[in-house]
Amino acid sequence: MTPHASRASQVLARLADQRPEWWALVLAVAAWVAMLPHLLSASPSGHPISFWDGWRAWTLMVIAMTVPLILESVRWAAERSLRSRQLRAMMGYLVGHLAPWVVFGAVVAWTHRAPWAHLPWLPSLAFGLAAVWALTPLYPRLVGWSHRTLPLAPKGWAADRDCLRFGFAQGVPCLGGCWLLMVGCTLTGHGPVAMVGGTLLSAAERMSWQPRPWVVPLGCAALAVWYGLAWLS
Amino acid sequence: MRVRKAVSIARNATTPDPTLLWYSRAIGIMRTRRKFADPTSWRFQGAVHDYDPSTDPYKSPGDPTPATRIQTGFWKKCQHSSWFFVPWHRMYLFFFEQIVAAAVVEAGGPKDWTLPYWDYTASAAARKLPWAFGQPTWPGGETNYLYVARRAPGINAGTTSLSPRDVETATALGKLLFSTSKTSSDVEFGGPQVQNHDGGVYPFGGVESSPHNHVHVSVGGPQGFMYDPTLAALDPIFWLHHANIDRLWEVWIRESNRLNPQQLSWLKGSKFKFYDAKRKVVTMTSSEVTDTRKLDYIYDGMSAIRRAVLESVVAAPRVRRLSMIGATQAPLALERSALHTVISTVALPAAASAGLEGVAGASTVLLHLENLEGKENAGSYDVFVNLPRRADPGDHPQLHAGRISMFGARAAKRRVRDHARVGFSFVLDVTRIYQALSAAGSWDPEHVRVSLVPVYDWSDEVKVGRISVNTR
Repeated sequence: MTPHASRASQVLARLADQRPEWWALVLAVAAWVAMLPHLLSASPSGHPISFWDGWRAWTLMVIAMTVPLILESVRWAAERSLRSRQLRAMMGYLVGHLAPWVVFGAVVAWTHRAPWAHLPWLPSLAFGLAAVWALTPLYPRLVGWSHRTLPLAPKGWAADRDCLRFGFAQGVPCLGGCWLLMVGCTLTGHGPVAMVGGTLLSAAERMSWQPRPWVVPLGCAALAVWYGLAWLS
Repeated sequence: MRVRKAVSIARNATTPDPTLLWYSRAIGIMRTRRKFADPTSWRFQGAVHDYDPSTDPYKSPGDPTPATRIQTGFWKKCQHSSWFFVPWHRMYLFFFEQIVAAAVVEAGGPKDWTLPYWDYTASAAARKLPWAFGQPTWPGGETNYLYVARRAPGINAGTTSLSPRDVETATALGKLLFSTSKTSSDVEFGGPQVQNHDGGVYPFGGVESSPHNHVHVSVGGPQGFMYDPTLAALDPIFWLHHANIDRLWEVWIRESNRLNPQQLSWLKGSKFKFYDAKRKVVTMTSSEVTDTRKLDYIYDGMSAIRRAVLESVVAAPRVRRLSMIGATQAPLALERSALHTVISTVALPAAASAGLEGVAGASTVLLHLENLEGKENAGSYDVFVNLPRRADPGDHPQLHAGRISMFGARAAKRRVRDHARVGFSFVLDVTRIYQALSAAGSWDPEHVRVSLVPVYDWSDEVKVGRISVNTR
């Protein structure tokens, strides 16, 4: 191995040690890449696709949009686990977190096959409802619950169960808070404005250093206006 | 520049200490002449820390609560288990001191009234509640508003005092760093890097854990104001206790190689709103409170000249990531005990299979107690490492890893539906014990035995989510 290659491998090893969750970020980037055909071909109201294609697109969208926001929790699962189990723990957390999203995605994909689900004003309505939902008293509670942490057993099936449960405990309120926003994104046919805008909104809320209760309502209202204008034009 | 001085602890039945007498009179004005909706009232100031109408001892139909908008904007803002713990409380004290000083002037007192601090670390005598706070009246019969009946048994009478373990500060002051990543099982002086709306359970910072939490629990007892964050700031001693915590931050930063956080997220990322003495809304960030001189006060015994601004020249040391090397497999129950000497011990079964080989040569060994949940009365617990079975913990002070105190457990329990946080998290540095036992050849690399001993006989059962051993 050349000195340069050796040094690079040392840097990568240190990065992997300091940032055990790096692969989850790669997964999210891959999901964005896989979504490119949708992003580039999206029409404002989407276009009919099969249940399986719809479910696949939903799942990719959820991975692309949510995984970058939960990297800290992925890391938390790793740091609370024995080194030999860290990858397994992180995967367990992710599976637990994504499971409710994927199940809900099946319902969305099934519904999205219907002709009425492609009415051009539906994305605007969904984002408008998402803005209203974010103003309800339940919404900030859901956001708080989506940060919840749980103790993890260190080994055996109990460790796998706890990682799944930890992910699920964060994933369910995450779904409860953001389902309308994600449905809106789906109704746009996974449009770039909706997906990028939705990701930025969620990131601004989850990663801000103090509560910003106006960010999501205003952002969703802006998306509602954007897609409303697209429909009118 | 105002100088905050140590509170008078002397018993003086004839001549009241003027600082405390005027403090009492100012509280009298804030409590009796001002309505709850007045931001400078005693109850409003208490609610800024935390508030729960179900526990409010001064609730009265003729004194309605302020508008919801005001409550949302200014109440229940205390920062705990967070790197905002010390800066937020510094801001809180700063405005409170102005409000009290204005009330002192209103009462006919001096214009330079300054909040004293309770330095319970100074001596054995200083660990007793300052005498004036335990007297219902002043000499001559004037009501003493410093007196609060709801304190731990014996505290007001002076028959009970804080223990040396309650006021242990060396651990916190010895920390080189201010904060850690919130995902880490580590502890530093000021607390983890937590967003102020985060719902996770993260370890208390060093100074918050000890002496802050211990003093709250020991002074408050099971029914006292100080025990409950929704009531704590209604006890006048709260403010002197926090002035001492604020002073300890100043002591810490004046040590060599200490550094306050440099991240913008800490310096300016979170803005906190308060009312000042003129009832004007003021917004502050941590960057505005890193130096007390900019707030026009210092503590006695400290030079007004700080060593050349350390913050800009000292680089934060790099620390290796911790490794979790063993943990309890399932949640545990620490049963209520009628005797101080009854011990609930916890072995670390995961250590046996995972091995503690990583401990050999470890520079740091940390014990992390996670998701501790109490019932109504969860008190303080002494944590021991490798305490022999049926041994009297008093005979093994060298195995004492530290004390943990469940300040806020009752309030947290009440709000379990509103808050994602489930219980508390504590980190204790057991490196010294590990090194001593290793040197004596009595460190079992495959088993670490942890014992939690209730300090008070009023403690209810406590659930412990997990205990882990972490090394670097």
